[in-house]
Amino acid sequence: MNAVGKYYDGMRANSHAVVITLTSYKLVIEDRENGIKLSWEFSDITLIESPEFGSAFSLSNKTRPAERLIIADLDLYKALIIQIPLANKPLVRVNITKSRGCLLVALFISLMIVYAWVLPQFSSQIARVFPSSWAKYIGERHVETYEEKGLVCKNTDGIESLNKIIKRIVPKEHRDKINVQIVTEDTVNAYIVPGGHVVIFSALLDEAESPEEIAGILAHEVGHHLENHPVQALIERVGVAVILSGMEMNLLNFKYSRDKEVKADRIAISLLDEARVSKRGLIGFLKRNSGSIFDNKIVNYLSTHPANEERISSLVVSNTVNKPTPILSKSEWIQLKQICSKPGV
Amino acid sequence: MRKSATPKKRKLSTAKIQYTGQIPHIYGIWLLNIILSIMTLGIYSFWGRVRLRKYVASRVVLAGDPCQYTGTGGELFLGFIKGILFLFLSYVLLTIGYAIIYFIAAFFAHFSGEAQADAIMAGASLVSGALFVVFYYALFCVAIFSALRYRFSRVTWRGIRGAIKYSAFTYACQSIKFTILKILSLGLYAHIADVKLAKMVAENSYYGNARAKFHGNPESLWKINFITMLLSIPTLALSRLWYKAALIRHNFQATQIDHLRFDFDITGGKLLGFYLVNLLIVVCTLGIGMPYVMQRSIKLVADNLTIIGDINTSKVLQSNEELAGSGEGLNSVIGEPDFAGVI
Repeated sequence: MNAVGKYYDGMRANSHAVVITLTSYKLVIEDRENGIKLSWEFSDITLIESPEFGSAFSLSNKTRPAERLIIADLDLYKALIIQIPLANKPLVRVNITKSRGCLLVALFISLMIVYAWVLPQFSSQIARVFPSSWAKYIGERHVETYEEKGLVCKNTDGIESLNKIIKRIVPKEHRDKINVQIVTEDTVNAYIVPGGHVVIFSALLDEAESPEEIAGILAHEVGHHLENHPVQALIERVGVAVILSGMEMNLLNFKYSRDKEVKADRIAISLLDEARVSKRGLIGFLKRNSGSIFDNKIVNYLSTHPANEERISSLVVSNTVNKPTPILSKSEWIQLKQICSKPGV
Repeated sequence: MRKSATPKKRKLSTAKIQYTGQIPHIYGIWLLNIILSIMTLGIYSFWGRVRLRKYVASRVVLAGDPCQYTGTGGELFLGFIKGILFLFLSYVLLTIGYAIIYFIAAFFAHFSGEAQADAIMAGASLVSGALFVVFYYALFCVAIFSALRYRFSRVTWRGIRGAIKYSAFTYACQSIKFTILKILSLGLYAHIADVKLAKMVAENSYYGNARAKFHGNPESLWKINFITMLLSIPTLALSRLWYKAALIRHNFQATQIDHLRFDFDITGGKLLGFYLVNLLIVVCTLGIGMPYVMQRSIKLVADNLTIIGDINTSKVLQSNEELAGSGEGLNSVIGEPDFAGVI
């Protein structure tokens, strides 16, 4: 079998047009113009590049590895490839034909569907079997970053006021699983991460007009925790995107669906009712801020907790049984507002 | 008496790079890479990258002969492991550096008044912050340059490979020096710095044993550097694309390998259009249009690069130098993605 190709001797940048003859145990390479005749035994031939989409393939010789032979004849390739020892063709690969290409596209679309639809659909089921120790570990690592940067507010009087709110809002059986921290940040935001760690940014505290607003937001975040939403969001995100880009997950920007927000709201209302805290705080905060979409500071909280008229009105009409009492005294509220100031300031 | 006459200029031949890569092919390889990378938790990505590079290189044809990419997935994987280890080691070293700075600062602060102690500690924070920025910028430069050196050494044409014989560490030091000078001069030194850096890289680049020469003259760029720098605030730095285009043109025209010279027909407008369309493709397709961006990047070079001179390279011999180290080390951990740095 004969074919034409190009031969490079690996010493000089010369291109030799050659005729290649396949015999029973070797390749004979001949450049008649320059009087070159070489014999490459099958055992010495290494496949450098296999044909891809009908392109030429490239061979080298084990005894003279810098030499190259480029051949476009695919019949010769088929005949030769079975003769070359397996160890000399590490790059033999499956060619991407039209049908295999379609299969690839189908596989790709399936993966995208899994990521965009299947994972979110089954995230609650997967979250149920997700080890709580893992969730705790992930949450702790996240919160530690604030601790390391010295951003966690630690004014003792402020913490006392905060603990009072936690004690009233969080049911006794969940109290040891919830950890609330106020962090010095110039963005109005509050969120919960896996493991029950609630982070409230100081700007949100500044924005709040009453302790009931803070209590309402905390109750809402606890609602997310009781429904296991942070772990579900984690599962939804641990998918193709993370593997593809290797990006770190930004726990701060977990955004929940409208359904999950409504569920968290329902739990928040019942927690507030049980604790005899007015739901007006939560409603007031959302109402006041839902119109401020052009204020960058506010956008952050609303972008992760979308609040629309429907959500607010369902909060307004929700039933409460108990008569509310103030959650903090005026002086305790002032102490909470000053939680990020240094002791004695 | 010798007759004085202007020697008759011989018209030099010109050649264009032919690029025959096709979008459906690139998509096929790209999709397969993604799927296999997901299935193998990212490990296949190194072999996938090689497959794509091999495809692209073999479709770049000059004077009838295709290029070849000779790197392997194993090399890239090993380089990645080395990069991770190096990054970890550098992190440990940086932490030790911080500790030393704070220890010294605390020592002096201990013997100073309260106001002075605060100033010393603030100074220590500033120094460690600067150390952090310089250290990671240097690492980034080392990563980018090492990767360029590696890729250059793995591309052959007519069986002869390229090489850049220059230390990545020296490159990083020079790069930092020039960056500082650029900042201090409010950008007015940019054209000199950029040309000097290009000269260093070009004059240490080889095709086989043929060393490249660089006849750059930064003076020709001062005007465009000055004007685009002035306009950078009102144009949100878009004016700098015109400077970038002028720099690319200048650097290509100033480079010579053996008897070959180059010309790159690029303008600021072309670059702006190129980047804008790339951005639109990536944003509108949510990243799925990435192969289009790769193809456009390679085609931009192929369509606009002209090679001037006689491609009689029979005198060029293979370099006796050892091949550049395995893989792309740090670049695979913190550097640029494939084909991002084509232009």
